[in-house]
Amino acid sequence: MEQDLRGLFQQALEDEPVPPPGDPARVAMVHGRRIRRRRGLLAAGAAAAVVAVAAVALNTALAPAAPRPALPAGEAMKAPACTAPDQASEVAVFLAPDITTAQRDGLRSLLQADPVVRGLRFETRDEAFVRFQQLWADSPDFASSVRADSLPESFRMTLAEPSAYPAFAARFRGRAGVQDVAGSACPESGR
Amino acid sequence: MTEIVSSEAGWRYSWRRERAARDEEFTAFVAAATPRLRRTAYLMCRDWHLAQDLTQLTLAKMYASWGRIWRTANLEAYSRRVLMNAVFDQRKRRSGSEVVLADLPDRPGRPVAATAELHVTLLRALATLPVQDQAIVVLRHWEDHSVDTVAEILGVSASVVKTRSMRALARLRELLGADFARQ
Repeated sequence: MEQDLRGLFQQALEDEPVPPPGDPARVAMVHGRRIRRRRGLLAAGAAAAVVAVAAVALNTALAPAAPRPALPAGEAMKAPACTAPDQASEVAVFLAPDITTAQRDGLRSLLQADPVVRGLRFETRDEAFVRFQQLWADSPDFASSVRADSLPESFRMTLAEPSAYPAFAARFRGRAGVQDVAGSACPESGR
Repeated sequence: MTEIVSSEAGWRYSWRRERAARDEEFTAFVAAATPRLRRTAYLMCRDWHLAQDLTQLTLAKMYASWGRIWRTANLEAYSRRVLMNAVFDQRKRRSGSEVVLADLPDRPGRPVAATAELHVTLLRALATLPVQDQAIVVLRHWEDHSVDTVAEILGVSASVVKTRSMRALARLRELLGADFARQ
């Protein structure tokens, strides 16, 4: 029966017309880019929704602590339980999407010169994306809806003194090219 | 993971090079995969124009995710999954406005007149099966994929593929009649 089926399918395909002219790869690329752009918009919406939900959840959980008016996009990058606004050893400075090379370089030398900063490193969008996928591995739909270029670049570092975090954050927040500063008390694994 | 990207220009350059390589791979994949995708699509829909459209849509969807899949995914199986989903979607949309035409002898087992026409009858008989069963038959018996690969493509378990495949073949045998069994 199996052999018969294959033969019959083969016969059924014998009237195959000549493929239409044009380069299918080029057409697919144009159409594919359009699909990707549409998905990107959807993902941005989904990410905004999740960040909003996370902000509500965090503010509720941390009610006794000093309230924070708004949570930045970078919050989606961290496990919620690890947020501690007053003390933090692991700190990320998220960069604005429109940061210039000069601003980034200036920020790097500033951080390198800062006495409380230890183990400074730069996280690219792609590295952020990999980590994001791991963090949200249990919600694959959300994880797969976010593209590498929708996550911010960041400088990652350890603070020598966790209690120095509020002052540190105040120094860098609002600086040109900085989107936000986020701190966590839990050491990040895998680095 | 600790390296610091030193210059924006270098980063951009390597990104462009990466993209060019990716597009090249995609073009090669399209050249290799298109004929088979189109034929598989045809067996599912019996319409070469529609088969062409579904194939083109499959390629576009694959390009949209190409950065994620080109080095990791089993492209062969992945492309079949995208294609079958396109077929299923198309069928769902169509079923709203159109009645499925099962232009088949309503008496199963009626002998088919000419052997030359048997393949036509086969495709018509195939069209009367549930769409997922059609996909299983085509992937298993035209594309020669293993039970496990078919299960992966359709996102069902291997035992589902086995039982539905058996049921589908029995039904085809019944619809095609004695001539088929003798082939």
